[in-house]
Amino acid sequence: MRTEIPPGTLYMLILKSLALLGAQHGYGIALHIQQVTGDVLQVEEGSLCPALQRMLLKGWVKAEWRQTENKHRARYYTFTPAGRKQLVAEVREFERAMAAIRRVIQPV
Amino acid sequence: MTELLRKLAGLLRRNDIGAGLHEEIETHLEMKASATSDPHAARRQFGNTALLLEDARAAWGWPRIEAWLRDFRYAARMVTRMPAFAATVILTLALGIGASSAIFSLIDTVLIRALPYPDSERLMAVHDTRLADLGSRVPVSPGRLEDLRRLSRTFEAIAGSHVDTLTDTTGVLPERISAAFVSPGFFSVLKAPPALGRAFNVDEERFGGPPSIVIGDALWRRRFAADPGVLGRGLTLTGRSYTNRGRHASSVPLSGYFDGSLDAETG
Repeated sequence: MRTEIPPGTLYMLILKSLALLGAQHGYGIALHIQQVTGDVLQVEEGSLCPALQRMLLKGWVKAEWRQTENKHRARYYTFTPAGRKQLVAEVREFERAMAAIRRVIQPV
Repeated sequence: MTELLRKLAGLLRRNDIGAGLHEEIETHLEMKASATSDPHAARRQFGNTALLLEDARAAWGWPRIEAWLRDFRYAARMVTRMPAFAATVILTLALGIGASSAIFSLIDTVLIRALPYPDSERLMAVHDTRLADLGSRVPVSPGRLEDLRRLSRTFEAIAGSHVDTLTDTTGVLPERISAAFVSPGFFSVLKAPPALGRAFNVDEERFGGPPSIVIGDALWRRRFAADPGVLGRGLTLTGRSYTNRGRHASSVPLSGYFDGSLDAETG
């Protein structure tokens, strides 16, 4: 069963994937997230592509065109120092929220 | 801020961005399709490519401004298509807005805005009225005004004025001016001394004293070209010679309505 990406976590997932993968294209990022989560989280292209554009605008990632193994031209994304700062901030905020939620839903 | 700059820079190469996104999405789709056994299923699952491109491009756009421009173009088309209807609507709006703002500015001046005098909240208008018709306002006679002034313990001071139209024959051409005949202490009650010159002195305020006038700002500009040397000049009003003692401050609304204030006892 597939689960929707929790709202507000997409940037964090993309940035973390780029931190692990180095330069990667959109499809590679989507594939990575899908594989790492054991097919639980499926990033829809409809949200991934616009999100990458917004991150380009915010200066969190950089993009450059490169040749793929299959002789296609694809846009490879790498994250910037600003992106790293954003990732740290988002992870901290997410874990704070998760810890809080866990305290609410845990059986006492 | 840098985001805004990047967006502005994107405006210059918007066609590049569109083409780039198109290629990126196509590549993405092909990679995904070739990774699965059924390329058609992958394509189906991918969804609407045009919509995806549109959404990705929107990140670089100015959705508010673009929506506003679209609305504006639509409005312009509708106006040219139905000119009579548009004219009716525009006229209705114009008259409606015009009428309401006219009424509001009237209410604002008359009811809301304070009079431009110091301590204006302590200024009251006093009228005589008839017992048979309490809503009526009857002018206060000079003798009665003097009684009010003498007997009142409610007011710090009381002064009155009476507005009349006089003929100014000082210049080559006669001119009708409206003037207020004012009682002693008029300027000190309003706490609005003349901007130029002085208020009437005790001598001028007395019956039979030297006829004097304090001219209004508008008359000063119109008749004397805003000459600061008008003090002591003579004015012939309805056959009588007055000496100019000063000029009202332009902020005092009196000067909007009256061309000058005369000492009352001369009238």
